[in-house]
Amino acid sequence: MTDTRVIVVGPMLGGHAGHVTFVGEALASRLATRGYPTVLTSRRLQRAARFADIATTLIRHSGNVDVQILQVYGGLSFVVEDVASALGAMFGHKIIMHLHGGAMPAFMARHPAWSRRVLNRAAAIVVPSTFLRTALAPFRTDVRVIPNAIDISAYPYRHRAEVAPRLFWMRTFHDVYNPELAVRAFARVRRAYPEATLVMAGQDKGTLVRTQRYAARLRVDDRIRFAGYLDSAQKIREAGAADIFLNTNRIDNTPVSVIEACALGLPVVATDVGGIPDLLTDNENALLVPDDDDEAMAAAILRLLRTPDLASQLSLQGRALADRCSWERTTPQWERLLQEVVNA
Amino acid sequence: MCGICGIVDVYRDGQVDPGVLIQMRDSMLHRGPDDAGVHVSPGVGLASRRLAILDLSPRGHMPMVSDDRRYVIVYNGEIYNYRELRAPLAARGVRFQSGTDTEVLLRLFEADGPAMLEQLNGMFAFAIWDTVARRLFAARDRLGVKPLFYAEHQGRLYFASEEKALFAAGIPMQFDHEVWPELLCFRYVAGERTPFKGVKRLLPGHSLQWHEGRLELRRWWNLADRARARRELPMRDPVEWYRRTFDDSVRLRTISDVPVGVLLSGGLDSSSVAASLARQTNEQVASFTVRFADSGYDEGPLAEMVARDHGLTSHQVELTEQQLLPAVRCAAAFNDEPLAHGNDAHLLAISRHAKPRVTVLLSGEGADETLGGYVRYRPLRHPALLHMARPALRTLRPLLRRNARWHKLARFLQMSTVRDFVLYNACDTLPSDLAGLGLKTAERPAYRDRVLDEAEALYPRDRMRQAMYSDQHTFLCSLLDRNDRMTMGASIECRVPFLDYRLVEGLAALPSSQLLAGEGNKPLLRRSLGDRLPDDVLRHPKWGFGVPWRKYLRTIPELRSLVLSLARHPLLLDSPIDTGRLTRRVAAFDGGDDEHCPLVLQLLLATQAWDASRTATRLSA
Repeated sequence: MTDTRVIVVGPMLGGHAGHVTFVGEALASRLATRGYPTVLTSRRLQRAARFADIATTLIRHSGNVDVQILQVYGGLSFVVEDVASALGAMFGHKIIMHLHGGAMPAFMARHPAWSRRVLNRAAAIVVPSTFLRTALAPFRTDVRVIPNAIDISAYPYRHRAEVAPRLFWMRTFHDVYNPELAVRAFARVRRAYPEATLVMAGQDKGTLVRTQRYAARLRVDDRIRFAGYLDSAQKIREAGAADIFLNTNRIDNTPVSVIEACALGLPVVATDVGGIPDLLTDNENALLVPDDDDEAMAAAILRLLRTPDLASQLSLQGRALADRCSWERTTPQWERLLQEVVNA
Repeated sequence: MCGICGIVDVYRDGQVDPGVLIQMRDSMLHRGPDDAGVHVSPGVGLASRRLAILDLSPRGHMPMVSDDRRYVIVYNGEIYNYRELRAPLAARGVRFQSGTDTEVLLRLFEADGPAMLEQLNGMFAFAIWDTVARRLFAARDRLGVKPLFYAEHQGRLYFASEEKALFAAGIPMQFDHEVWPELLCFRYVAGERTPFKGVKRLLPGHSLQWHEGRLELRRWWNLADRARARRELPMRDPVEWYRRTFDDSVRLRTISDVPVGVLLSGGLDSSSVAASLARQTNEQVASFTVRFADSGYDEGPLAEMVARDHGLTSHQVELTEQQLLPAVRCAAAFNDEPLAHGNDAHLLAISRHAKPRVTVLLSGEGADETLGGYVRYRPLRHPALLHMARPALRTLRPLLRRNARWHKLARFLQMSTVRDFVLYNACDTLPSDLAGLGLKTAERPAYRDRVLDEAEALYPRDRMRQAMYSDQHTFLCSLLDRNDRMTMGASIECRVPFLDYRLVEGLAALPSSQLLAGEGNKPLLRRSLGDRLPDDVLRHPKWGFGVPWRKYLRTIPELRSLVLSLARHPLLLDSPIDTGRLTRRVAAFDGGDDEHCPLVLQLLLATQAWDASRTATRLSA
């Protein structure tokens, strides 16, 4: 229903069991709903097959695309991102690069020439946080911030006027997400609240067993439930039964899982790393603690449990934050950008 | 322009759960994606979603609290004359914190109380909580451009801009099967009543007070009284008056801090709005038009002509047959109530198309009801002739089937009284069409009957003016409700210059000899503004915004399948409708009998709305 034809390029794995919906997939779906003829690539799981699928899809649609929105994650994926942008440039597509990942700054610092060459193909660059914009400053200064978004209407809000020690952790079991910090902080909380519980959920990328053993070693495994990967309905159910959300990342950008927790009304206790301070404000919509500091995290949880009105305030302000990150607010920003890029 | 809601407890210490308020508020996310707020104090909770139009800064945040913290307001709409109202307040020493009309409204209420309603020119629905008197005051604009629904449930008053917010708060969603006859004939349940048990609509031009569990309603604007008062001062030059006031109405409706565009069908009304808008702005105005593949329904070329003549950019959208059913379902979800008009989904589609470009759209709605534009009014100008023609038309009825308008007239003539001609003037399905379906069709809808009483008292013996007055209180409400829902569904504010109260009151006071004298439909509009429009637009026969539903319902497989399974839909199985007979009528329609099309379409739209609302309620539960 609109003239601008869009192709969204990147890993789009949300349809596969055990995989989360990527931001690019959600964006493609939003643009399609708004009437933009939208192609999405690729849903292939294997990296090589995905690479081939992206290249062939770009070639197949070379004549009927105006704008390529390329999801850029860096790392090994940057090879695919390089090729996809080169093909797009060759076909005369306007390219919008949408950068993600708390690890991007380190990657760009390691490969400055390569990064500059690829980024220079972009007609516009979008990042989800000012943290990433600052990191991009040596490469491009015309970077636009559009926050990662959620469909807020899909997250039923429950106000936490006061909270019980029912803790919820949900990220991938990987060193970057530091699940063991949650276990250590929980062990401290349990000393004060023996009835405390912790639910840990997420895909395993290598540290699940280690975390389980660690919980056993600290003798808190009887009060920790490992729920595995949760789909949307399960996520809402588990979060609905919890009262405090823990985010223990060592590197982070604009985590959608934190925004989701805020939308659901869960007070958030998070490590103060990467783009987190740009997203969350300490004592206003979350409690922030230093990286890998279980003592500080436990203290923050205890403060939440013992301070009247603090949970209520964080719950309300968290929802307000999630509201600012809703697709209703960000889609118009994307649409304006598409118009600008096409008209440039 | 926003979505508002609230809960008031009869008891001072009845705590309102902010979580429930937020569920209510965020079920209307589409109404205000730009900001959201909640206010909770003992026994009351108010919430708002904001679509920022004036003063885009956070100073316009709602709920807004007065300086002394006595009053809290949530407000949906625009007060077009807020700058004029602000100046005298400022002169009296009132210090404003923002450039919003919300604050002007709040300050006016502080100064003058409910009497301030008289000063407002705009579209609005708002609620003000008085923390000292512990009283809620709510009001709606004169014509009902902005909606407000309420329900009393377990000692609490709940109110919201949309019914879905009440259901999100836990008000049970129960279809009121008593409304079927009115719904099927008129396509819309008029008056306070809605198709949902326990959910009421605050009527246009009415205010509400809730104090210690007692609800008081007051009609603060009465068109009949205003028209009588204006008759005391006859108008010397109606043509010049209409041109001047209409242009001023359009000018007022361009007040905005975001881009303004126009919905342009290519017909007389929207073209008049577009022409006036283009003359009064230095910026290029965007116009938005729905196109149809079937040239018999497509007014696109006329819209293009008007856009070209007035230097507007033209944006067009066409709903393909594949897009139609998803679009209807989406429109039904926004509407809550059964869709009343065949083009509701198209209005949503064009609003979505417009959203990246503009946030405000001007529409030509309201001209037909105030200026006498509907073709169906014509026979009412000569009721005596109709009486005489009745035997002939009855005899010729089988031959008239090929011409939809003559056929409709012949069907109307089967009705027993002239009063019924007027009452059922807007209907495609008549009570006689419902015979045998198991519905009680003998009683006339009470609210519509009451409005017609007022119309008869205001325009004795003038059946056409009676029908226009009735439409302004019933049919127009259905159009305005859907305009609000379909445009707000895309986070767009729709403004209706033809319904500036000065125009509505002035026209209601004009004698028919001045209002209806001249060639063509809406002769006064033609004489006032016709010189701005291309001849092709002026000569084009009255068309409306038609949609080829007969064809769609028979040829689009998904739609046809829904039609054929109508009688098995749970909503209809629960209803008093005789589904066996309904099945036979559906089969007759599918076999080519057009007479049942309006009934089938209305049942389809009702069931789709029910499904959509149930899904939304389940999601928010």
